[in-house]
Amino acid sequence: MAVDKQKALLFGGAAALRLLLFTVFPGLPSLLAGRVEVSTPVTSFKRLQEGLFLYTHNVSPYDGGLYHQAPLLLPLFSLLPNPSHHPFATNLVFVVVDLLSAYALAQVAQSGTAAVSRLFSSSRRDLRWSSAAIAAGFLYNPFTVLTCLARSTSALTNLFILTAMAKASQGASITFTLALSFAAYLGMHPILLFPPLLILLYDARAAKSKTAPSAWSFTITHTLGLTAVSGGLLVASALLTGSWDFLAATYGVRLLLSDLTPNVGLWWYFFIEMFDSFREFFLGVFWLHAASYMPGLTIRLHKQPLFVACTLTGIFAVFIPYPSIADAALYLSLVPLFRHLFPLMRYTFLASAAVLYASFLGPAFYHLWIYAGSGNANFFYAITLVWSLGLSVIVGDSLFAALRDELDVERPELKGKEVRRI
Amino acid sequence: MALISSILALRRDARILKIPPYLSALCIVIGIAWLLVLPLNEYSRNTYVSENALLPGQVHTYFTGSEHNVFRAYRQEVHAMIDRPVEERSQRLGDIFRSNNLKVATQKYSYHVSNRTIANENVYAILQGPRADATEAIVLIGAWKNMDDEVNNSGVALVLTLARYFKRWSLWSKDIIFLVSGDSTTGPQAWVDAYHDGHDERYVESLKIKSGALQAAVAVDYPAGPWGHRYDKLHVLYDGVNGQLPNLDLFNTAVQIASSQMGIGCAIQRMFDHRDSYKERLQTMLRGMVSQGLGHATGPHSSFIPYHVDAITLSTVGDGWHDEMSLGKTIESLFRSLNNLLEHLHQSFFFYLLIQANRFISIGTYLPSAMLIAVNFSITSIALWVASGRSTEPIPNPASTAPPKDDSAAKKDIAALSTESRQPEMELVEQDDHKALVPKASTAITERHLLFPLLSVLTIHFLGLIPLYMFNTWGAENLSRLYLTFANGTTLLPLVIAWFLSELRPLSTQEVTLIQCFSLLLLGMILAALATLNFSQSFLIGVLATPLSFVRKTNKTWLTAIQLGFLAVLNPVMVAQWSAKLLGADLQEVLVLAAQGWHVWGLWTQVTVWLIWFPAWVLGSVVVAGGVMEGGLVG
Amino acid sequence: MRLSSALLPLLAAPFAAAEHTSNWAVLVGTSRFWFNYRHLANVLSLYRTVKRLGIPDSQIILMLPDDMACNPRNAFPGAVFNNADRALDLYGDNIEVDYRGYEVTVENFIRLMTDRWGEDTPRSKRLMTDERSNILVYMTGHGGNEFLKFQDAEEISAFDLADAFGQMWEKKRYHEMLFMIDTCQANTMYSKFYSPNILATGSSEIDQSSYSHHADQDVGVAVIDRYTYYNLEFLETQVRDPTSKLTMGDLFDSYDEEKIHSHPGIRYDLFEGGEQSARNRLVMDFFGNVQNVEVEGEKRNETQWRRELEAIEKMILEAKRRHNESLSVHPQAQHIVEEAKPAQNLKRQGAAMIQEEQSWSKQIVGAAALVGCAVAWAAGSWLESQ
Repeated sequence: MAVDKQKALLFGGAAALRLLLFTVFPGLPSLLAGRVEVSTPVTSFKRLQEGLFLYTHNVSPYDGGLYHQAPLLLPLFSLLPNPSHHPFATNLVFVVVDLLSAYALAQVAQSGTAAVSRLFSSSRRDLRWSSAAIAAGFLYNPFTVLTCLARSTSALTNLFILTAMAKASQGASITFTLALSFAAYLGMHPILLFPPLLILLYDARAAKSKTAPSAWSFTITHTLGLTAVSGGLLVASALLTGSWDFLAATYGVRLLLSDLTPNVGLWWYFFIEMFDSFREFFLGVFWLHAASYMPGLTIRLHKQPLFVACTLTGIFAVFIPYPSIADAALYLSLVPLFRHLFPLMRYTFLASAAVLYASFLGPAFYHLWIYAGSGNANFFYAITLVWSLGLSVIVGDSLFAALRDELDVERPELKGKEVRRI
Repeated sequence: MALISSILALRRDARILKIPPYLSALCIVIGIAWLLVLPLNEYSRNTYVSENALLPGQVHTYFTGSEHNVFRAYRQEVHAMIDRPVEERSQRLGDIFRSNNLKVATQKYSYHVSNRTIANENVYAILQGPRADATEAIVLIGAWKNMDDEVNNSGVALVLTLARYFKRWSLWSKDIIFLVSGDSTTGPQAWVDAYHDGHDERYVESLKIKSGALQAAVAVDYPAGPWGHRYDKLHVLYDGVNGQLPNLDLFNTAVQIASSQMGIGCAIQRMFDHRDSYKERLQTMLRGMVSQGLGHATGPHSSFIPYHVDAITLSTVGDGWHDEMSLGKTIESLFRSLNNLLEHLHQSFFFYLLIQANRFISIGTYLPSAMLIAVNFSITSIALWVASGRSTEPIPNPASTAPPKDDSAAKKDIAALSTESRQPEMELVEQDDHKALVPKASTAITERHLLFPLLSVLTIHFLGLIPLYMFNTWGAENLSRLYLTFANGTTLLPLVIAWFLSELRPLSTQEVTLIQCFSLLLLGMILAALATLNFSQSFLIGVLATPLSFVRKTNKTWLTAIQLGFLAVLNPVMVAQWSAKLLGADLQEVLVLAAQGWHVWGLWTQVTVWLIWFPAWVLGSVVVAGGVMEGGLVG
Repeated sequence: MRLSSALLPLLAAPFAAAEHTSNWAVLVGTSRFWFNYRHLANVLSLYRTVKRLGIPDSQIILMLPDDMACNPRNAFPGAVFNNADRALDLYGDNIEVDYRGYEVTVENFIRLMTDRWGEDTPRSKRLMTDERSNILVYMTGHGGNEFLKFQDAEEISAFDLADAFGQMWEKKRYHEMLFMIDTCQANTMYSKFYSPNILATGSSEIDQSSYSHHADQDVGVAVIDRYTYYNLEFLETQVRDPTSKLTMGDLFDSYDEEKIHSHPGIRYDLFEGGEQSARNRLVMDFFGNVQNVEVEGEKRNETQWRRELEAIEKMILEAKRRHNESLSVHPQAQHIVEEAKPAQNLKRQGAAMIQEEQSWSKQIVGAAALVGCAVAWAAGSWLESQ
């Protein structure tokens, strides 16, 4: 009972904090929705409003060339009163989305799959934070709060990613497939989470039923299920917009990077500077690079599938074309699940200092570039590099820790000894 | 990676922990020394105009002869308006502009700050470039009253004369706006806010007529009375609000035209007698830094700079032989140069320190000094982080053969720890081919408990909102008392907090270390970010906060007392007092101006002081004061 | 003896006439903006000079990237001067600018030189030279080592220029060429030339700037460059009329480094006959028009002339017929377009009309989508709980 009270307090507090910020600073959401660090061309609430306007006025939402988000968001948001006059309902939706995400995260934490999976059990598994603490880490993470205030639709993507993780760790096949399809439908890149989460689901199902189902039929049924649900969503979108044009305007933009608005990622500057003739080549290289982590990590760390999925979200936060702090928030909220790895991580302070530095210097440099006119794009890009470096150091360091953890289990005699990477 | 690993392996070395304080000190010393060598010839450069289009001083100026008579007449008219009510003054000024076939409008503003009302009226006229496309404009400002609250009699008259004179030329490629603002800081702010639709309509009227994008603004400050006054030099003011500076090209053009074409000497930062010695250069630079660091408005031009409109004020100083016509010619030539501009001033520097009217130091040269100061905090913070991971038990000397003495009560626990063997736990460390036995306590990393330190640092920083709110909203008559209360209160505050903590939740050594670590990390980070926005502010706060890197909690009462005394002097509230005295300012006035700056100019200095510097100071002092409590309890 | 020396030019004249039959001038300014006033004044001065010496407007290609006369900053609207005395308004009499404003690009310049154009390019924009034409190419602007900036946006390199001239030679587009350039490090621009019969001269060596001559304090900008100024001084004071027999050697000898403040360079080696023959070329061979007109009529017989005339007549008739045919075809085409239009219009109209009355249906769709998702989810959860 005490735990429930604590959780109620936690969720209530988070909701209150958000609603308070929404009401006390009514200008804040629109300010944040305009910040490039928070809102990208594919998640911005302002663009959603634009798409919504066109949609409710019977114009194809993609005609304006501004809206690059999933078509099904439109009928959903058209149910709500116009956010520019009556923002409360919309705000409430985003608060609820955050709370649901935190709930899903708490479920993941509760399942304990982070430290103990079917094939692997960490020697430090007793070292863990309570699910409430981890949910608090998500709810009170300033990046999450900012994303919520900016009403960026990446909050929805994050919700579905977390739900997919929760459902996978509980062994709930159907809802897992649904959640992951929604996530992939909204954000495209979450599709890469399918293999590791499928392993997670398999493990959970195997643990539940005591007899492992056949791996092949399991994989095939779930892949088919995912394809079917995603196909259904796409067909529904096509029916809704009346054509398949939305594919080019949503996934096409994400794939081909046609909108070069600055963001915290690495792509935009690179592709601004690039000669057109090399564009296709480097698009291929960048995407290949971003996607290539998935198979490698999934195979190497197949015993810890949740860790692979978490690391992949970290990689997304750095290497996808339109990352924002929402992606970093997701990753940074997932990392505390692996409390048992912390003693093995060695650059936490360095990396968190880099991330913090970047979060202060980023807006300062953006101000110098855009508003004061006394700096230029290089200033901001340099800071996004630091930001990405910080995140990738956390990714790399946790990866090292996870490998070391496996080594400790495999060869207990080496425990506590220094290893050298060669 | 291997390199980093081996560097990290260094952490095992206990000696490494002793280095950071020296490293921090070195950073500070180099940072300050860096600043001191800047005025030397090797580190500064002569100014130059880098924008091709400006072509300063390449035109004949024709502002002479009959214009002089016009000027004298206007000067009398302006003089006659001095005692009139504001509306009538505006009406008359508007009539003069109108008689020269210019479009005229007025703008009322009325701010309520610190329980007082600042109200006045701006009058402005727009000269539409006869062959221009009305997409760009330059502004000529004559504030009705200058910064010293004198009536800008000749300055306004000169603006009127130039309006009449400029109207006759057909070569303007931009519109010219003549602005007679009600005062020197609030009026221009109200006007430029309204020009960019950034105003609050409750206090400031919207502008009735507008022109194109503002390219530059020049203000004239010439308070000579109806009988004129021959001046010696032009004082060029260039600091904007929040320490933002105009493009150096504008400043250079003005200085070059005044000194080369017109033969008028130029001075900056009130250094009227500059003989180009090291001392004077340094003094100029430091004055500039203080002015920039405070971030206040220094003239009518200051309000324009945050809107990315480059602006300067030309102010006449001293007794000499230059008359109003040479000032008029300078402005004519300057406007002809600005008229040549094809795009916004962007070629030259936006970040610079001037050490003389024609010598400057560019950002690349001076930035490292502030960064070094900021880095010193980060270094200490990293050292504290590492230290916080160390076990707190004293390490017995493994080489000593004698068992630790048992005489003191304080060491009982150690004795208890090592009862079984009476020997500290040892471990074998191998590096390269060397092997060594070291006490385990010196290499093991203990778990850190981050939550409480993190929360306390954040809480203290948030509490900074209270003084920020109070100082900006209280009435002017109460500000002095508020200040006194605050000065006394904050000196005792750390002791009070430390006492409460020791009573309610005694902090472990690790928590104390972590509090200081996070506080310094945040301070270093924000100062580094600030250095890019307002170098001087970051540097000054950095230097004043340096002791925070070195103060530590200690059991020695006398050391705690010295540290606390030292910190008390560097309490931001106290710093305000003694620096006001040092700079010859009235504290009450400073407080009122600060509140005005907060509400009208959009000044950020208070935010830096109350939300960054002050909390950092409180945290540092609380850490030290913790020693008193403990010392008190033990002794 | 006196008689023979007087006759010498006369004897040489038919020889010269055999050398080239037309004179063309390509005068290019490459910079815009008010502070580059002098570059446009340079070009206009040259334009005025070659026109005075007899090259007709139809054989002058004038490229002017900006219009200084009508710049609002110009204290003398409608006029451009190349001297502070303002004795001569370069814009005064009729000026025929062939390429103006943003038409002055590297691409257009190279197309002009190599004559690679679409069919509909007007004659005034083409350089219609042949292997009997002498061309004067004059360029001025901002440049550097082996490049010349065009309008702050692009640049032509010395190699591009050399290749363009090389192609011209291949295509028999010139007989002899005088290349003259006034820019910083100008001499690097002709260093890569390889095609024959080019005489090149530039204002300054590598790593050397070219300077402006003087500024007009009322216009407020520099009005002419030094190198061009002294070239003009020679052309205006020495070459008084088209019969002038001064040689290029005389012109080159007049260059005074003291006055020009840079080292003008001359490249003879590509010229047939080398330095000697190049120096002996008349100034008028490049700056003036051909004076000797060769009458060819006698050589042809009348029948041929008549036949040609008839052929032309036939061509005109044929063209007329085709034109009429196209006229009769045209309405039909229009008709088809019109037929297609309504459908398009309908769609456009629907798209452009802003109406919100259907929002209920949208909300029903939205609710349906939401309910659909929720039902799928609930069903999934229910199935799982089984």
